[in-house]
Amino acid sequence: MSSIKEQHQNHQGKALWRSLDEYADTPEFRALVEKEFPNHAPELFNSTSRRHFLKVMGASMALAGGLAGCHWPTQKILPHTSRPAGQAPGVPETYASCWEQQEVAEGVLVTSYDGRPIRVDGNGDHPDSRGSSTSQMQASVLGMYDPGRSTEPTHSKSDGRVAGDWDQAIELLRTAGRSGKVSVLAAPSSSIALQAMRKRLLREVPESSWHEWAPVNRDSERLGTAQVFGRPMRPVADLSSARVLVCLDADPLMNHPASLRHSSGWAALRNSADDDEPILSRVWAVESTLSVTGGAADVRIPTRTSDIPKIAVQLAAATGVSLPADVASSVGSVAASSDGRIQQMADDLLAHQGACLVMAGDRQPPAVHALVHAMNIALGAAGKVLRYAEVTHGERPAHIDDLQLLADRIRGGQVETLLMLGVNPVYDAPSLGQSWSELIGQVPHSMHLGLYEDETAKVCQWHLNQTHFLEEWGDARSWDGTVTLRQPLIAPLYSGRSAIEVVSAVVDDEMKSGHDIVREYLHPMASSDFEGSWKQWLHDGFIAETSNAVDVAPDIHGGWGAALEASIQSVGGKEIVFLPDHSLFDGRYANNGWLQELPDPVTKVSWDNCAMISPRLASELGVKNGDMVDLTVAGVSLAMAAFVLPGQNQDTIGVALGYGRLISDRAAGRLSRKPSLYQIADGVGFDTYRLRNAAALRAGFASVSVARSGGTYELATTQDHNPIRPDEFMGDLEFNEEQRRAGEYVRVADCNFTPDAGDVEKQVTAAGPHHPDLKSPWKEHEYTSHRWAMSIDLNLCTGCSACVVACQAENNIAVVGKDEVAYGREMHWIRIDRYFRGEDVDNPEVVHQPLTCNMCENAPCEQVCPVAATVHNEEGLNDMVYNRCIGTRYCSNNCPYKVRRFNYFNNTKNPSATEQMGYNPEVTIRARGVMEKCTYCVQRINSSKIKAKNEDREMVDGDVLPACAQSCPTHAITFGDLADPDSQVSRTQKSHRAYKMLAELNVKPRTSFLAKLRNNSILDEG
Amino acid sequence: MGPASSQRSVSAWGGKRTEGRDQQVRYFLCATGGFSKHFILSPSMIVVLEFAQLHSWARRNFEQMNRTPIFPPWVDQLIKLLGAGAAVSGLYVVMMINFGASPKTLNAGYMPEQPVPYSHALHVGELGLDCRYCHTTVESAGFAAVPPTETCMNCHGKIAPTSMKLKPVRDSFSTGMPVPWIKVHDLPDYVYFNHSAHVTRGVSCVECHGRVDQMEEVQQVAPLSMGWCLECHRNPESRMRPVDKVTDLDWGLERTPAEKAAQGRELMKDLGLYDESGQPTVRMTLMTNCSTCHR
Repeated sequence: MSSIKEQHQNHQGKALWRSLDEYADTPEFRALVEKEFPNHAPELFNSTSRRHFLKVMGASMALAGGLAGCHWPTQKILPHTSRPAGQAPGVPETYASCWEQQEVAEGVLVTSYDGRPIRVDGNGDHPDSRGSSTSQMQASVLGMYDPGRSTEPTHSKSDGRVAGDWDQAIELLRTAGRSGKVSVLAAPSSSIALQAMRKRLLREVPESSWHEWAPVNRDSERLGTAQVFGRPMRPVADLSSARVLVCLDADPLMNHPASLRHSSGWAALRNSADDDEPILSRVWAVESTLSVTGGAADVRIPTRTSDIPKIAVQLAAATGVSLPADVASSVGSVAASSDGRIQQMADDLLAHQGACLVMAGDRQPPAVHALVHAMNIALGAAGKVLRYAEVTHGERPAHIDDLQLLADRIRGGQVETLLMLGVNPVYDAPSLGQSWSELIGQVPHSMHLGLYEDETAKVCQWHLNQTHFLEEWGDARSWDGTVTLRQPLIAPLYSGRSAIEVVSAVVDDEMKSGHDIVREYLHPMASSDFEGSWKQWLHDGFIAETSNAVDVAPDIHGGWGAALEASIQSVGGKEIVFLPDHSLFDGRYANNGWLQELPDPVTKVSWDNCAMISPRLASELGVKNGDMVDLTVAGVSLAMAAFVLPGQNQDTIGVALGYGRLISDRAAGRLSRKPSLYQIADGVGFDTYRLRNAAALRAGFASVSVARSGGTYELATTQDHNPIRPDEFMGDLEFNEEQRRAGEYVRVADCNFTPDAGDVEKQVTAAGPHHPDLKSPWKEHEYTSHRWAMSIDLNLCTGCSACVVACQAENNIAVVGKDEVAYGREMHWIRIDRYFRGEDVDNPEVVHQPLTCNMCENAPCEQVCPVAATVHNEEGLNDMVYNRCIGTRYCSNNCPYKVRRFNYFNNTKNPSATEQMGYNPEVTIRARGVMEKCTYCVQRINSSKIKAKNEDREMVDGDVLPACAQSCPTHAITFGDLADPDSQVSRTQKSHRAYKMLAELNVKPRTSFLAKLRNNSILDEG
Repeated sequence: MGPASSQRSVSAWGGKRTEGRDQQVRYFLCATGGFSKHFILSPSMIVVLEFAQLHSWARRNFEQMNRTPIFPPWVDQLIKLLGAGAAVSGLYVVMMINFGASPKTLNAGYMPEQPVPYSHALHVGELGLDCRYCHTTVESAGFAAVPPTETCMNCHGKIAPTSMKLKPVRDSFSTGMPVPWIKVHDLPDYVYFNHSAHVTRGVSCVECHGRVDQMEEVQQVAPLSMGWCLECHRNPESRMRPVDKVTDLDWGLERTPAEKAAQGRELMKDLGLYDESGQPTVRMTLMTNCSTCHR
């Protein structure tokens, strides 16, 4: 337990650790550090692998034998018969489109390579996404090429499911529309076309009803704003003017449909330490489970989710803002908090009136949202930090109530045809008296439209294959109401149809094309020249100035004081909260390998969800990571693997939703090396929806009893992979010498802003290593051309992991499967090391450090390659030549940052035809036995260079943007040419906060990090 | 590894793997044996020598014991013959791999039969069409682009509209299905060649594709191996020409290589590959960086 503390304390007084194992310096962790390659599992000596090895050898022999006189397979060139204007083969093009999740659109730019979409990025012109993207947006392109998608309509017969065809299905839909009694259960959408068709269905089809269901929804906010404003409003926050932000169980930077807008706003107040008038916001997070926003917060208060209503009321009382009479009396009836931090938070808010914001999360009851909005208006946020937008279809009941209505209709025999559009209630809806498979079974005609033949599809008479969003026409409104257009990038791969097309078959008695439907319903928004407007919309990806957000603060109504009082309850025992997964969301992305393999930003667990418990609860139960625990909610119990998460509230167990899918009937692929079955979602993780009953859904939490159940489970967590420990490099030096010379890899400065820039510099330097003058053992390179470099601002990184998936999409990085990740063989070129900081394991600080190849000028890897497969180029790039690499792995061994990745297997062997379509043709596909690593996206550097030369101009700053920097929602990554003193990267590398990681090794990395600042010193004053 | 040493390692590999070098060098390599070749040669030699030694030892023993040898005496001669044969066969294998598998043997001269007997000799050589009439994207994109059927039909809608040779083109145009041309110049997938980067700097089509204007059926003339590419990337002088002469395939035939090189150096100064004093700049070194072609 002692050594790590001693080692790190000497520089900063606060320990840095990635896991409790490291904190306690357990033998397991020591072994991981000392063994250079923990990933050297005895592969050849287990029986299946030996057979595999012989097979591979056999193939090589055959190849060698047949060498003479052969020519590679003939390839064909298939040109267009008539080439579209402006298109050139092999030149990627981008089209604007729209991505929708939680009924909120984000504008995207899709890169198409010879007609195949290969990347989804943010649309820089769009008011919401502003050019950045989320990991789920980035991964959506793999979702389209997913060979596990449903490829045709199917229907059930007495002897099982058989293939149907769309003509039959359309006929059934038309008949249903004519005969009436149609109930639709749709995923909520802000599509103008779909909403108009909903109204037509209710009006024109007799005895029809429309219901909406989403397991992860924002009902509380909608109902809460309806209470306080008299009608539902959507708060559009501009965090770039929120000097003080208080999050009550809210995660605006990650689990929020406007996370991109929030992230860029938040970042604006975190990166100005070098400006003349530096500003640093202060974020307070009160939450039960460590969230991404909680990790980024300056002050974090772990508490029970069920206690947060009380804290909200205490905060309101402490600020003393004016509230409606009945609410004020409810607020007055609650005793003040004994926690001094609540008063500090209130004082902080009052000191920044007009520049502060309070946000409540989805799990909080409507009354808390109502209170928060009343407070925000009283604190002057309206018009400055907050605008208010209209909510699409705001009058609908809460989703769970809507489900109840549908269940009642089914039981009452009022439903002749049940049409489900992109929903999966059998998997994700709580049972309402009866399970959803039973309820669906009672309907005479049930039809399901979805991307997968999933749990719900199997109990429906008909399953219809849906188009992916990259294959269809559509529209949706973004968070601020901007109408965003969706255009197809490719013809439907499996002749699927979109939701609006299916509904049109019911209401129009013919299946219109999505193109015509969207044009029809958006027609009123055009100027007199519709075709001109339409072209402009498609080009921009959105309709300009259609945001319906207003600055004016709505009137405040009372009448919810009693509800607020009722929400303050004192629940004893343990509570469980259900979180949308950071990767799989509500389970819809479960079949996406990139997202499954993406380590969770908080737990760093890939390929699984787990029961997150506090270290204190873990020691009470006597469990450690991977031990199974039994969770029992209202008589239903689930055995689940535990994960001990520092910062987790001790009475709260957090579980992510979206795992434990059963899409196919085939055997589960959980432990296979590489998921060869297409339904990779099957059997991965634990189905936590089973515990989430209707009451839990309404309350936002549930009481749970937890017990150790015996047995362990392998969790593939990457938190201790590639450990960077200075003692690794110090060899036989005496301990004291080692202490003196070992630098820090993550620097954090605690400061009380407004900061003095000089002060920051002093703190950052003080945190650095103290080493003798560095001398190079060999002649150093001279650079007379570009000097590519990167800066990563730790103060801006939230850990959201969009860069990891963006890099994976750009560079054709393989998915290796859970077992290989557990060995430490994940292939991600950029990883995000999550460090905890401080001695308080119950509430540590969190620092995220994205790490890629540092492109050392004195690169240790280059010195040891026996075949010159990794060499230095004149621009300072550390080139990796795959076709020369013989796989000694010496380079990886010698890399102090542990950023090289080795192909232990032929991970890209035999990809299906559709998967191949998704590869980026600009990057080589690596084979078995080859080392790979970040290249600073050299393909983008080269194509920008060629472009500039063809245009006969010099390159300018911003010409090259690596995939990670492009995706980053907070613009934490800057890239450019150090030879240009005015480039953005030159400026960031000159920052007061800039430092080089492990600078004392004199490897001279090109990547600089900018120290994290934590604005928490208010606590010391108070 | 400094720039100098990385350069050195490139040349070591480039020389060994590819032809285009002096034949003498290659024979020298065969005779002395490169690393891999040594391994093929020596085991066979050792086996033969060991066997011969064992045999003569056994013969001496048998003679001393005054017993009839098992093998008749002529086997001694056979062993020598076998030894010589093994040595030659080892050499044969080396030569086979070295020359037989070289891109010059395997690739140069590749001339597949195309679905349409399109003659570049007729269209370019005799009628004088410019390369860029069909390969429109060569100056702006990585691929020169095989023309769409529409381009053929621009003329062949009127010229020879009933020719049977052109039936696949007409079919393609009416059905919308592409003409399945066979790819002739096929680089490995880990090589990224960009046409625009070459032709806009004054490297002519002819340098890689040969006299296409004289070909009835297109064939590959250059080996397109890495050593061959590097030869030009290291010494481009004599292969440069004014940008407006890039598609003029018989340009400069009358000039000597020295004259070409002298002009090439002037052109390269304009491109920034040489500085005013005639010294190569960093742009020149960048041309042999690995990531220039491999990513």
